[in-house]
Amino acid sequence: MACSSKNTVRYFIGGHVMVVNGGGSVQCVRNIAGFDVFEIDENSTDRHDDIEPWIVNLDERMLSLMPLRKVYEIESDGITSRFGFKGDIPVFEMECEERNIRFGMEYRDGQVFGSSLDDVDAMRFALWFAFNLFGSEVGAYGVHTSCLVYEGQAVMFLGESGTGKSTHTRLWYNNFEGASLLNDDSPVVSTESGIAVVFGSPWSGKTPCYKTQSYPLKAVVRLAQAPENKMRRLNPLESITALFPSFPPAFAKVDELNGKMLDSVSEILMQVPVYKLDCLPDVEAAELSRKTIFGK
Amino acid sequence: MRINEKIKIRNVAGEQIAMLHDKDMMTRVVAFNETALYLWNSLLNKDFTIEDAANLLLEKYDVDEATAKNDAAAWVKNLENNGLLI
Repeated sequence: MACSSKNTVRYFIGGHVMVVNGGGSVQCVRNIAGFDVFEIDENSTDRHDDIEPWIVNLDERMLSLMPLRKVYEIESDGITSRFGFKGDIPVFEMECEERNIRFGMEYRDGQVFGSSLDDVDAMRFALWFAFNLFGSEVGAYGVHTSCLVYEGQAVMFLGESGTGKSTHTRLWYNNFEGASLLNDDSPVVSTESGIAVVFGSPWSGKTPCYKTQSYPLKAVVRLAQAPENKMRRLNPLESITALFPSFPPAFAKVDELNGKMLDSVSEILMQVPVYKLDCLPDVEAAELSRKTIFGK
Repeated sequence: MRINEKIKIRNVAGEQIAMLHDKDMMTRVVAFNETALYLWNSLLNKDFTIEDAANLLLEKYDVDEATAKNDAAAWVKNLENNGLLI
């Protein structure tokens, strides 16, 4: 190998190998909390050499100078992120003057090429986005959810930020023997094996919960705050509109990517039920969802 | 009138849906039942009138002319309201 391990770091996330190459930016990647759990040692016997790696090259200088045809923009923690195209090449950009962030990356020839970045939070998001660019090709996505494990199966709780996903899952694992948190923000959901599987990931939001394990998906629950606890199973059309918005929103407006996400949504919905839970932040709500999903 | 050919109908978990993105970042899902899908597929890439849609209904379903015309008009109105016509 030409590159020393200092300039390359290798991760196993969501059943895939993601390799990050670069100079100084690789050190930034190493500093992201939680990523070390997913790192594969260069010399380890379990390098997953049988899996085609997803390669992210950072500190690149040869990036397209074409203007961005923007399809999506979001601001979070003062960082403006954009997704779009330069020609037909998917491009992701981040910008924040105060934090001196000016980052661009593009997905071409099966690899991601990005500029330099030394902000840990921005890097975490950039790698999440890179993962999804690769993942969209095979049906593996970071899905916005607080995800539990119970009886060896995963349950995804969905809802917009502030709905109480984390509160609800905490009520499970603080009160029910055998319930644990798999991920609190964006585990990886994959339908590649033919069954819907949820993998822990290094993207866990405010709760440090970095697990490499994966579990078959048992159910999906969309949460809403309400004055009383009530739960019902959604019909197929309602299930689509409950699950789809938790997939990477930047991809929704690109016809091809939208179609691929809907294929994954379709596969998941053919396998597991989706519920709507109107709830209070109390243990009775957790008892109701456990009883509805697991029958006890 | 014509169907907006950019809109794709996809089978998601057995539902025939079109996903529409409004300017304000809202996403709308339009679901098609069997009849609505039949009209869509038959009239795609063609210039058509409500009459044409009504005739298609008469050909396939056991309905009287008035009902067919009513249903065809309702179908057109629905497409119009959802921005599915050009």
